Amino acid sequence: MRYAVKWSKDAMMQYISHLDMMRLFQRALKRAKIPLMYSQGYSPHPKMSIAQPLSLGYTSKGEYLEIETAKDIEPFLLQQSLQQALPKGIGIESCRVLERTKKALGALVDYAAYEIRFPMALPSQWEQVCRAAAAFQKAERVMVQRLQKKSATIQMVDIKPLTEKLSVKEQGQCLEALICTGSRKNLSPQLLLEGLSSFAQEGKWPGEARICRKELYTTLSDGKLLALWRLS
Amino acid sequence: MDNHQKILAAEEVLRKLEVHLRRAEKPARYTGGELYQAEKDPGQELLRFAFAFPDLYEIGMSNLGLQIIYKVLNDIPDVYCERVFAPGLDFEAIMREEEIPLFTLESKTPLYCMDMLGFTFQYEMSATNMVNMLELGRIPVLSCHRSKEDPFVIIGGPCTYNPEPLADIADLFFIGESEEALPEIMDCLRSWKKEGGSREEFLRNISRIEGVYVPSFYQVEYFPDGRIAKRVRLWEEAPLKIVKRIVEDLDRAPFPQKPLVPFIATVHDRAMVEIFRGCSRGCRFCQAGMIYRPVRERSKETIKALAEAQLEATGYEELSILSLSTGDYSQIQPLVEELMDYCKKADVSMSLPSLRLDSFSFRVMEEIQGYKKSGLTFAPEAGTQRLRNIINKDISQEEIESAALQAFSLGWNSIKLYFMVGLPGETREDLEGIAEIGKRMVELYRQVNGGKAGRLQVSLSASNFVPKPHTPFQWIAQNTQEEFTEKHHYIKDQLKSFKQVRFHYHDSKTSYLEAVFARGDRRLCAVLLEAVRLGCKFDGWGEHFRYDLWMQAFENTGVDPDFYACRNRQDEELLPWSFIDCGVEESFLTRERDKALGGEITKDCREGCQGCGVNKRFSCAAWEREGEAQNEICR
Repeated sequence: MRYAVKWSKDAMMQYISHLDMMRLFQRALKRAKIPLMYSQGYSPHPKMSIAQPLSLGYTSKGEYLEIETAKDIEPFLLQQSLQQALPKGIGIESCRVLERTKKALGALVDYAAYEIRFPMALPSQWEQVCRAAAAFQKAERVMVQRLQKKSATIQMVDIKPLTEKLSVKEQGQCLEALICTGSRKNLSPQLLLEGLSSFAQEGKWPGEARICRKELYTTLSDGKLLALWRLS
Repeated sequence: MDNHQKILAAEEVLRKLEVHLRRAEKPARYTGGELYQAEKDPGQELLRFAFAFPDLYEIGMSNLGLQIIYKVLNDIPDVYCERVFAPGLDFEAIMREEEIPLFTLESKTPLYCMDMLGFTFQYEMSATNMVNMLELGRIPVLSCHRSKEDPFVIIGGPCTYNPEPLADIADLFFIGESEEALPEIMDCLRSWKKEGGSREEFLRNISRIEGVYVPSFYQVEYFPDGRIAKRVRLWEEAPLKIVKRIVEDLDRAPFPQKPLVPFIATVHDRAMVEIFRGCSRGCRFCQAGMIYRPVRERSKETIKALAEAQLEATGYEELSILSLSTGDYSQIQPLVEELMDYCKKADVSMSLPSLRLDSFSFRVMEEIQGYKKSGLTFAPEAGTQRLRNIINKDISQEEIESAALQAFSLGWNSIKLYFMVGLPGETREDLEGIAEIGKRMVELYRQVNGGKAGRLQVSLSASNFVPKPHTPFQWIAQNTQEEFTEKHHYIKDQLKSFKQVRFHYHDSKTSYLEAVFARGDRRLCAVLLEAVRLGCKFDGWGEHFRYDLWMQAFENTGVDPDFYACRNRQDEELLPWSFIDCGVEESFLTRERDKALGGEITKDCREGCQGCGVNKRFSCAAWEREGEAQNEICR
């Protein structure tokens, strides 16, 4: 049986990398006695994946683990026993059986919602955030340098079309953004912040940002967005 | 300092970490919070203990001793044992810049708030990291500078069988196995805290616990030529000899069933069960083989129960059984078979370090490794039978060759062989012998593989012999660095035309300093402090090791390192560690040394007591197995 498990990662766990999370879940599933299916072939590996890697130093309320188990388990029981096997700082938010969805969750991701906070910012800097966000909305294009990992070259990209929504909260102490994420088009929140800061006054942009991923979305055939936890 | 102040200090660290930790290379080294971390309320009346490992998190978390001590201490309700590791150089710079004191992973409490800080001294070259950690933790480095508010610094681990190079740093040492002694030490600390005595009073009380050594109760006097003239007691009740502690019944010794499970990859990230302590082989170069006597086994049933409990609790995908010589476990065959059965069902792989090279091992390796053939490892240690007899390494040319033949016919393509250079009595033939064994491997591989050797990889690895305290070679001079280098080149030259054979050797400079500290005395404390002042740390890591600074430190302090590394000692000389009693008698060591130089071997003591003397202090199964009559030699 295939399951989509939605989980969260708090500040305690923000420094555990994607690969380390994979190993952590593998061990937790073993502790919880949830047997996984194995791939066929020369070196079989358990059928388990994390939909979209999260950068080191980010927290999240909307991460997804996809697993295929060797026996059918009530989603509620799976959620409970997995939660019990996890260390503090990882929460299981929900668990659903995937029957109609055939594609891997990772292949379905199109957008991610982020909350970006500026905990050290002064009120004068909040103002800069508000101004930058407004200018960003008005701009036709927002060109930012992006390091191309494969070729190790720097390219200019327009991040405006990769930003679906951007809104300011709490007078500028916080931003909410819905941006392209996944294998087709991708924008990192870090790059978005770079683009935004180019609209702020020199040296007035708040330095420290705390980034939390809120949710992952897929696009339906009618163009509407659907949070991954609603898939079945 | 009261609890409230400690909590405030921890909160201050936490606030700074929230801002600066994200700048560290691997922040997860410093966060704690792993599965099975001990949680206690610092607001309660607790004895605060920090277990300090003087190397990076990834190294320290692979250490079984840490897991055992963590369990033993945290099983005591009013003791909170937390962990601290040496910060990476990147994060140390941030800590210094932002004035973050070195803190414990569990509660982020600065080290200076602890009641006791316990270092494990596993490797001579980690001493600079200890000093650096004390500085970062804002604890005076020298014990004589510590006041009532400061923690006690206790140092244990194998290197404390010669504690003297750290004598000015430790308030106390603990020699031997600490499972049973730690609760006694905590009792002593608890009563002292209640009664509010002086540091001196605490040290006097604690020195009554067997295995504890308080260096400040003694003074060492030297001859003009630098040798030790005598040790003088400054307090008449201080013990003359410090006898190591052991756990006699391993089956009843505490052992972690729920070990801490790290988040990030460590060096050995797996379930570990220790199957026995001690070793009966008596290799003459091997300190572990002497200081961990007598052999004590954990029963097969206990081992299985512990392995299963650990695997269930951790979800680890690998199990390793540990000892000095796995194949010597009395019931190794049934043990391995039964563990293998369990592991197969539980989908866990097994690793069996240091198995013997017999047919059973090959059967096991076939089964546990399947078609994924990892490298095969042998340790002949010396290139000829003559030299192997001198060091009492019981492995013959025939055994090496037949094992290699078996391995090659079973499809192995890579083989690693470990040797030492600079052993006492070594000649040119012995160096040539190392190269010869490498060449012989190529021949044997060709025999099995129809003349071809294209896929074969032979790795010959030579370490430089470091004479260690409490071994038959403790009196012997180490080779000079020039001698080592010349020998390395000599062996390398012999192998020029053999492209399948790769020869690796250790850095002679590191081996030289290891030898200095292994057999050093109290005068090295000053050198150590000076080396740290000049910037030495992580000396065990090739890329950080600064030989030039070390030499500068020796020069600045007027201490001659050759005196410790490259000098033959006479039998009458009072050695810096002579007051440490590990159970093996000095008369046995001299006898073994003399036999060595005559090329005479000493049998494994399972085949008959060889009279090392350990049975006089501790109950020794090997000795008890035999009749009284055969044991005359021991008396």
